[in-house]
Amino acid sequence: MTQRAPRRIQKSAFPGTAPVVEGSAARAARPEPVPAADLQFAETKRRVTLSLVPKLDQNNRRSLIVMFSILVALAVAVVVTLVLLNTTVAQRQYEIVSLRGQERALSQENQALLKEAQSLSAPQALAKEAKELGLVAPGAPGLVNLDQNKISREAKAATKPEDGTKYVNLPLPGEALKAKAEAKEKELAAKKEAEAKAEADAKAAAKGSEEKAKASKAATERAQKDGRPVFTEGELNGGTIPAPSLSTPTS
Amino acid sequence: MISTASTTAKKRMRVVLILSLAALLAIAGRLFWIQGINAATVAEKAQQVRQREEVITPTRGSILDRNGTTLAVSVDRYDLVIDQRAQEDAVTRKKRDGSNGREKVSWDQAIKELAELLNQDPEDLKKLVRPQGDAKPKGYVILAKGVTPEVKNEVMEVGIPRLNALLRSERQYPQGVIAGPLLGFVRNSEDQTSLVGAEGLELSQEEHLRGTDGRRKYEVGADGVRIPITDIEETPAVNGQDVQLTIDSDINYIAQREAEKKQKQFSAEWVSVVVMEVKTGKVLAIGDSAQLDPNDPGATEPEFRRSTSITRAFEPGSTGKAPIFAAAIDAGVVSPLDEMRVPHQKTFTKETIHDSLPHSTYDMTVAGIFARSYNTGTVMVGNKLSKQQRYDYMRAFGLGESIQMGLNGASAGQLAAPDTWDRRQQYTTMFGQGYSQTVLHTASIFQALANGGVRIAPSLIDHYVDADGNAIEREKPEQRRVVKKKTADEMLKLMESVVDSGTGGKMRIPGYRVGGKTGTGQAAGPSGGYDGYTYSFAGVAPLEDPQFVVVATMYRPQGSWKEFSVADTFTEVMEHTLNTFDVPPSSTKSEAYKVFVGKDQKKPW
Repeated sequence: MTQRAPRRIQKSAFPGTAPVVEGSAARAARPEPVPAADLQFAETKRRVTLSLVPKLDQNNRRSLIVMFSILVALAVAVVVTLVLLNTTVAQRQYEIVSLRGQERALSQENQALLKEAQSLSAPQALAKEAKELGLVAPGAPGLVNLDQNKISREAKAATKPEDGTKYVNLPLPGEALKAKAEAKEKELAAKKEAEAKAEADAKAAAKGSEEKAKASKAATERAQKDGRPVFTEGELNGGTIPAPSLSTPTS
Repeated sequence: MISTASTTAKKRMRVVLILSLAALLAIAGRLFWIQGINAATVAEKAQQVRQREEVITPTRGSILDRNGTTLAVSVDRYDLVIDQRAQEDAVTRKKRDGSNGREKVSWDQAIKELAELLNQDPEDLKKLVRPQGDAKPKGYVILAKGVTPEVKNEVMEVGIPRLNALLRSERQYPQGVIAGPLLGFVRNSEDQTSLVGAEGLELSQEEHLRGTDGRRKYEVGADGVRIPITDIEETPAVNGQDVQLTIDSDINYIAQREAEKKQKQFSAEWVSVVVMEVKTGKVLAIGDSAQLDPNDPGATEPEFRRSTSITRAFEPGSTGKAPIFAAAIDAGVVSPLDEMRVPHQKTFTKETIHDSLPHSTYDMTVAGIFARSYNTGTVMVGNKLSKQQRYDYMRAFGLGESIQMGLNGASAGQLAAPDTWDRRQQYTTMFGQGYSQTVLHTASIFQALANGGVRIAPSLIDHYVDADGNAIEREKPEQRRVVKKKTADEMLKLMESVVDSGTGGKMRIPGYRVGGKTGTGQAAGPSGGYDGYTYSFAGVAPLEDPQFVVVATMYRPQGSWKEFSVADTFTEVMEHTLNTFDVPPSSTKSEAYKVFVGKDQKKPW
């Protein structure tokens, strides 16, 4: 691995010298280059060549390679670490988002269950449950006077009220208020009543109209009590007064 | 020739050089502008594109009873909102059986599934989900409000595109009607984004319950996920404080139940029961006959959406004799065993005062007058005090001034200044007519008498609990001595006489020494005259060491007046309260005074 520069000599380096040989592979008769160190400072025009930097020795070169590879490895390591770090952080971010969602869902479930538990343990819910189980309110408790070693009052047994009035209960959580429920019931009842009434009215009306028809047949154009003339259903044709009729003059 | 060519080349190169330099300069200048001079603005612009800012709404505090039972709590609910625009002809969704892959279903099918989940009519729902006819598709249609998280999750699985669930906070009252009128209820805020108190404690404690908004600033990427390693600026929300009440939900249940029962029994306008702790002035229960479920306040008549115990002032009747007797004893003008000759009707400065029933003239003790609740005798006792003296005592007992304990609409009642009292009023105010007060006022008077003469302002809120679980105590309620300890002790004996041998015979509770005062007041009607009655009993137990005051009041009962009584209401509630707090039965003997002078204590009414 000689570091010798190709022996290219510029024309201008030797002005006025013509090539010794032209068009031949023969060696040009020209002076051998001499190292600059050997060059004597003479007036003679001698060719000056660039000298070579002293060769690196083998050891130095190896350490350079090692150095280089360490640097490269370091760079690669840094890049890889950064990329890994970035990905993990990003990954964690997504995980956090999904865990947050999970947390929310769980806390919501918790809320719902808690609410159910609270509603079930509300006093009126417990009272209802107790009533269904056939429990009754306690009677008066017995009293023992420890100073006198006497029973100062006998305990009274709990009695089940026959009519159950003692156990009126308040609306359960989530149950519609009684007033509202009652109002709804009333409304429903009123509606039913109205319907029934309408039906009865219709029946009565039908009956009435039949009778009326009969009556009108018996005594045509007989005025009612209020002075309103009675018409047959056919005449009314669904209306309240008969349509005007046209009669063509015959004479 | 050669020289010309080289000159041109040189010239060209120079031009290119200058151009390049100019371009470089421009770029450098721009760079300098962006990085150096305008850096802040540009950075801000970029920031604005990436940055998201959201308000973190705090969770509204809960309301708890004295045992920590939740009475009001905020939970997460969802509003389902759909965007009708840019919808395809069919719904493409992930397969619902859990397998991979996607499937196409018709809108009808998807709406049917949705309707089942939301419990709505498919036809109605279709009108909301799909644009109708040629109508312009709407960008925001609410399909359902306040949906539970479970339903929301299932709805999301139906896979209708552009169907969003917006998180909302909802107020729940898991105990239903328990303490309903006290808790009050909430309404949507003006901007519809949160809940604010509308009535009751929810309204008065708004400042504590609401909490403070938080703010979060962060940067998002194109996918809407927060960019990691960017700064977040977060001011966390401070959740509202929990309000712990003095109410005991079990006792409150009994009080409400008994009030409702009594109201039904006599078709009264309303019945109210108040339970108060004697030594602290803490209200343990307020039971109203009209139930209010704060989950659905609209179901209750507007006038009963607040507790009648604090909004309705009425003429108390004979329970109003207690402050007068206390005043007379405290001023030293009478003592309980002073003897008086009491007719059933007596005229004072041209005003004739009657008793409710005619009776023969009796020689009675002052305690006896109180026990039998004779108006004539009461006026004889009260007359020993000046108008101003009586007025001052009544004011000291808290009359004529509203009781502020966190319930809005508290009535002050009416107590006119003594110089404006007319000729009859100066006597009627001695037996509870001619001025008005609420049930809570009555409870407060008896609390003072039972607490050795020291009135403690009634309180409903025990303390607050902040978001970290630290208890924040309230300032101590105002304490004021109204009468001497000795007077208060005498008053307890007078009250015991009422139950032992007076009008309160039915208020006995087996095992305990009970004292109190009955009251039948005439209720003024809208026409100006008296056309109804108010029945009350205010009682204290156990008398050897008074713990609780229970006041039961029934307003305008209907039917036969001879049967009107709130005795069972009082005994039921008082018994339950005594049992709840494990109060040992009384072991001491009654200290009741005798009613009549002489040996015969059983004389006809």
